[in-house]
This record gives sequence, C-alpha cells and structure tokens, in this order.
Amino acid sequence: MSWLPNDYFRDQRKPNWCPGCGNYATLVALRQALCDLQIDPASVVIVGGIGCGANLPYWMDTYSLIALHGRAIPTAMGVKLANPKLHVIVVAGDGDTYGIGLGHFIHAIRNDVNITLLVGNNGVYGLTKGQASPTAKKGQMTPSTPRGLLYDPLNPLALAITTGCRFVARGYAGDADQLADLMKQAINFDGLAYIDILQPCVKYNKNFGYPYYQDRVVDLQKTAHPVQNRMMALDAALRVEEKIPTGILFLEPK
Amino acid sequence: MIKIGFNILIGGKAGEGVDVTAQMLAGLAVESGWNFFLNSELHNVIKGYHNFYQVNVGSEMVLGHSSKLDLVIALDQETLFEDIKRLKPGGLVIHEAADQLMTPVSGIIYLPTPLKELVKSKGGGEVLKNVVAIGVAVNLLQADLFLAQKVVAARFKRKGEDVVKINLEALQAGYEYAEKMFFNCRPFKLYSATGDQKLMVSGNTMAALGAIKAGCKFFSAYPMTPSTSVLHYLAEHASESGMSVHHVEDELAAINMAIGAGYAGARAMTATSGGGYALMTEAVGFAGMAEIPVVILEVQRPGPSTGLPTRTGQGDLRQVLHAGQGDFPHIVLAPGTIQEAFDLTFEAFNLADQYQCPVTVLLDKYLGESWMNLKEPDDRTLSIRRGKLAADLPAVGEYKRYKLEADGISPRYLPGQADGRHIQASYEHGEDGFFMERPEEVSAMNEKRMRKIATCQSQLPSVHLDGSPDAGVTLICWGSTYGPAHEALKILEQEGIRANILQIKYLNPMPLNLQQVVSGLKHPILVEGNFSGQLGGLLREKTGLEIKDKILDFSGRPFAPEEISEQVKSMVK
Ligand SMILES: Cc1ncc(C[n+]2csc(CCOP(=O)(O)OP(=O)(O)O)c2C)c(N)n1
Ligand SMILES: [Mg+2]
Repeated sequence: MSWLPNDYFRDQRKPNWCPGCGNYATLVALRQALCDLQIDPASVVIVGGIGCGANLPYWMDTYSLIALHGRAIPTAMGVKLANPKLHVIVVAGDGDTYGIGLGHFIHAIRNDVNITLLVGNNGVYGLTKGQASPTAKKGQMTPSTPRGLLYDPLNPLALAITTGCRFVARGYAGDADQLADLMKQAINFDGLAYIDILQPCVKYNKNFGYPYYQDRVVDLQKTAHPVQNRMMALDAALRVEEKIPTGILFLEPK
Repeated sequence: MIKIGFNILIGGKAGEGVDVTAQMLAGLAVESGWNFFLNSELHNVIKGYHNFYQVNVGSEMVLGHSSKLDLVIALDQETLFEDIKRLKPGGLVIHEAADQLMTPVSGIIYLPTPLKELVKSKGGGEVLKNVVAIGVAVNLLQADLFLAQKVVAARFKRKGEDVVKINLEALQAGYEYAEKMFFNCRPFKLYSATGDQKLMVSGNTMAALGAIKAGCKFFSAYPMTPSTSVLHYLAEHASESGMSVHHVEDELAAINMAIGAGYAGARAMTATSGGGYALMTEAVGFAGMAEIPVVILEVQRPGPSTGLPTRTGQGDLRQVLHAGQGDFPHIVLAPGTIQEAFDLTFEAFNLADQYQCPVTVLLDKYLGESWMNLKEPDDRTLSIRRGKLAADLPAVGEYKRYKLEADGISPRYLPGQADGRHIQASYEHGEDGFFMERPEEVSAMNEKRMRKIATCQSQLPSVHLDGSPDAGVTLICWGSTYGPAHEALKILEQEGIRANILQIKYLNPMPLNLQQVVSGLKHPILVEGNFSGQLGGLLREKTGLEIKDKILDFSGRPFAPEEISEQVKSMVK
C-alpha cells in the first residue's frame, strides 16, 4: 500500500490557527515528510504539549496525544521506550519546551531517546495571548512585560549543542520545503533529533513576522558549513542577529 | 501449640551496622523456622546519630513491632541510657563492658561483654563488634550455632572468603564468651521449628514484586525516602523482569513518562513520597482525563513539606484522594500488611487497565521499610485482566476512543494497531477525542468517566470485620495501622475486652457494603496516624458515621500495639 499526503490529515476539520500562522507550514511539512518516507500513519504517535502549535496532533490522522503543558517530552519518551517500533514525534511551543518544560528538554537530550522534537519558536505564548516566551528579545513589550522585557533570550540551539544533542537543526515556517526535508532527516535519525522552527506569530509578535525573517535566514546547507563540527555548529547557533542560519547546524551520526 | 515470642532491640549509631545485625538475627529466626517482624527508627542522616532496629520474633506470624523488649543489644551509649527503659522486668541487655552505665535500671540484667577486646583478640577491626554481640545473643537465645554461622556466611559471601572467616570467628568468640559467663540467664529458646515462610521481604519489596508479577514493564521514578527502595529493587532486577527502569530528572518526568508508556500499552508505574506526589498531581488528572492506565505508589512520610523523611505517618490520604483539579476517576488502595502490599499492587495494575485510569497505592514508611518473612507468591493464584482492548473485540461501526458506554469503559486501541488511529487529550473532548465544549456533551463525557467509578465500586470485594463479628469494640483503620491494631486485639483479649477491626483497603471507591457494616458497629474507635483523623472524616462523608473516640498519632512513629490497647481500655471504661 502506498500513502498519500491526505492519509495523514484529519481533513474533516480545519486547523483553528489564525490565517498566516506559522503552524500551517509545520503541519504541511510534517504531512509531506511522513508521506515521502511512506511511514504507516498507524505507526506514528504525535505528542503535543499545550499551546497553539501543540494542537497540531489534532489535525494529523495518526495516533495523536495531547499531553500537559511542558510535559510532551517525557510523555513521548514513555511512549517510545514502551514501544520502540513507533515513530514518536513531539510538537510543542517555545513556552512548552524552553520555559515550563526546560528540564525535560535537557534531560531528553542526555537520554538521546529516538524521538523527533519539533519546537515552534514564535517568541511568545500564543495561546495565552502574547506574553514573552523564553526566546523573546530583550526590550520586547508584551502584556506581561509592558515596559519591555528585562533580560536576554535563551539560546536553545546553543544549549542543545552544548548538552550533547546529536541532531540540531533550525527550520523556518516561510520555507516548508526545507522544513519537510529537515523533518525527513530528523525522523530517520537514530537518536533524539531536534528542530527549532522559526515561526512568526502574526497576531502577537508582529515585529518578528515574515518580513523580518525573510531577509535574514540563510540555509547552511547552501554554504560550506561542516555539519559534523561541533564548534562550528555552536558558532552558527550563536549568530542570531544579522543573518540567521537555518538547516542542519550539527549532526553526529552514531 | 503455645505461642512464644520475644522482642529484640539493636541500637547504635548510623553506620555501625545496626541494620545488618538486625537482618542477621531476623535471618536466624527464619532459618530456625520461626517468624519475625523487623522495624527501624532512623535519623535522617548517613552517619553518627542513634538508630535502632527491633526484631519481634514469634512462633506464629507477627504483624507488628512491640514497645516492650526482652533483649537489647546496645552498640552505643544512647541505647544503654534510653532504649533499655523499655525492657520488661528480667529483660537482658548485651553491652560493651567498657561503656559506662548511668544509674542502672533496676529489674533488668546487664550482660557486660568486652566486644571490642574480643574482636581484637581475633585480629578483626572494631566494626565487627556487632557480630560478637550476635554471637552472645545466639547463645542466650539457645539458637543453633550452625544456623547462625550459615546466616553470617551468607551475609558476607559477596565480600570474599577472608571477610566470611573473620566474621565467623567474631561470632564464635561472642558465643563462647556467653557460654562461659552468662550460663545462668537463658530465658528464651529459639528451638528448631518447621515454619516454611522463608522469603524475607519489606513492604516496598513486596510492592515491587507485585508490580513485576503483574507484568509491569515500565518504571520511572525520582528518589524520595521512604519510597526509594522500590526504585533500587526494580533497577537491580530489571534484566530478569524485563522491565524498563528509569531514574529520571524529577517527579513530573517520572509520572508523565509512565503515562506515555501506559498509553503505548505497557503496564507502567512510578513511586514517590508525599512531596513528589504533590508534583505529580497535575498528571494524575491527565491520566484521569485522557483515560490512560498508570499505577502510582505513594510511600508516606510524615509531612507537611519535607517533613520527617525517615519516619512514618498517614497524613497523605486527603492529598491522594483529592489529587488534581476537577473530578475524574482515581482508584486509591491502601494495603495494611506486607503481604497486602504485594496483593494490592498486583491488583492495582488490573484496576488501572480495566478502568483506564490512575490508581494510587498508599503505603507508608512503617509498612514499606519494615520486614517480615512470607511465602513466595504463588503464581497460580494470580490472574491478569487487561480490560477492554479494542483489537480483541468485534468492531462495531466507526471507532470512537471515548465512546459513551453504559459502564463508562470505552475500548482502547493501542498506538501501532492498524484500525485504531485516534486522538487522546488532556483537554475535554467528544467521543472522538477532538476538543469539544458543547454543554450537554461536556456533561455526558464527565458522566461517562465517573460511571467507571460506579462500575468499579460494584465489582469491589466487600469489607468485613476482622475478628469476632459481635465484639463490643471496633478499631477502624487503614494502611499500616492494621498491623499494630491486629496485635492490640490479642492484648485486649487477654484483658477481657473483645474487639474487632474494620480495615478499609479500598479508599476510593469504597466497597458498597461499607454503609451497612458501619451502621451495625457498637463502639467504633478510629486508629489513625495523622492529626485530623482523615479516614474518620471520609467515613463521615461517605456513610454518615460519626466516630467519637479517636486514637490519633502524628509523632512520626508507628503505633505500638500496647499504646492502642491502653487507650482502648480507657475508652471502654
Ligand atoms: C501548568 C500550566 N500552566 C499554564 C498553562 C497555560 N498555558 C497554556 S499554553 C501556554 C503557553 C503556550 O506558549 P507556547 O508553548 O510558546 O505555545 P504557542 O501557543 O506559542 O504555540 C500557557 C502558559 C497551562 N495550560 N498549564
Ligand atoms: Mg510560543
């Protein structure tokens, strides 16, 4: 039997994201990646946390589990460790993963369990109406930081690299083809594969919309970036201002 | 047969081998075909403070400790100053001859033994003085020296031949010293008997064994006294049992991982104490809402907050019963004996699978970390019930994960199975798992979930009174308090008071016949290890029973049977 993109899609209902939301790209790319790999949707478990992006499992016709805010990673690890034959994919937000659930992010990397981790990085808590997330820029004004955020953002890719993550990538919601390609490699990777997805929140983070990213993203795979060099990967991860590297930053096969 | 028993206390500083001494004496009792109950009182430190272990030895099964002592082995001064006050008249105390005595306690017999000198004469280090003391005790108990040697050799086998040899010599030295010096004080006789309960286990070990026998294949936990020995035991036996055992970063990870594993179809468990349980509560509700089986062992220490890590108490009943926001099905069990720690943990997995919900098993330090001898669990009497698995049932129409079934239980497909793709969620949902907010359907889904509790209740075993049904007094208890209460009945009987016990093992839901049983009670007395009488309040809520007389202890120590019987006597008059 061969699978078509629509076989992965619970198409009787439409996603409830805002028009233009970056999560649509994640949804389309994931569907495409699974289809390209011809993975039986019944062998896929998508575990969401709680947030706008974390609702994605609702619209995938796989085994879909919406867990608790911050706890998608340990829940997914339990699924994978209990049945290693399953393809287990986590979809969670930056609040989910880098805020309330940061401890799990680090320890899952140490554990190197064979799951795929997709983090929607929109700089805000979308679902609770736009407060600053741990990746929000210093000075950013949000309802919870009306006079501007006082401190610098977390750098999750640098954190992942220094914690020993063997598959560290950055995707961008404005480039669904690249995203699908990264997802395919991540799903096939033997170990924890992590993709941070730059994802404009068109409602609550208008300063960092598509126009902001469009001119800054640089696909590392179109440069001479040596993906197996940890120090170069860290260097790329630390470049966040003028040009923002996307693609695979670091890859260390078993 | 006449019942015979004696109660030994071994006291010393943490790190002095007090535990090993107690374990070896317990082992000797078992080798001799007797029974024992071993409990400990420890400070929350690794080295230096005074600790004691008590080994209550009996020709019949013993379910608790006793506060009255027959023999004390004093490895430190504090034992000699404090613990010996609990010796019965004529009781014996083995102590270091060089230790100074305070004003001697009258009516007890001091047996000064040059423990340190005797080890030195054999070329051993001071750490061996406890083994010399065991030698003295073996002689006083008129136990079989050969059996004692067997126990000591088995204990040190792993450390090599030389260690075994020096320990055996220390044992011999103590034995011979007593033979020569204390030949006229031998009130006990640990004769060879035919008891066949040879498995030496703690409540925590039995809970762990219950999980293994139930086919639990996933365990994740974060260490927290007094639950940690469950993690240690399961980790040590992981390769034989085929269990995936994980020491994870915190209790949030521990329970959410177990829930993930339960969702994937593995029987899964976590274990913690009160503080860790507090961190888990959101996820207990998640398992209830998403309808995922998971078993949680909560081994209580006295709270609140960090409380007393190494002591015992029963203050977490309400926390567990009310864990998590909102209403959801949550089954709560409380074993009262070490055997029941096995039985109810095993059963917890069946209930979790059948009702697709979290099941908490409440133990406490006294039950979890006390030891006794039991029979090996008999596999033939155990049956596993995995509940409604959709793949095993005939398909009826379109599959709905949360189908509104009359008994509340919707068949579940496990991820990976071809025909069952579906949504499960921590959000409220419709029958298909999709988020849903329509008022009638929200109500219907709540009712469906809660029907599982009614179904479960209708299938629970009935409660019954333990002891003579027409006794004038009923001790009402739950959890580890059952043991001391059981021993107290024997004391009360000798004093002419007939009492029985109402032990509640199923705390949520409660057995259907409970109402009827409590309405026939003449003089109920609540015996509980917390300040507010949590079970008492629960019984009042569920049955209307108002218990006037309460024996409550929140000192961080277990009830001694003598304390219970004394208080009962004063309440009966
Ligand atoms: C324990 C807990 N705390 C708070 C919330 C409320 N909450 C829901 S989503 C969310 C933040 C979501 O932000 P993010 O993870 O970045 O996802 P996004 O909506 O941006 O995709 C919060 C705080 C919750 N559901 N659970
Ligand atoms: Mg976000």
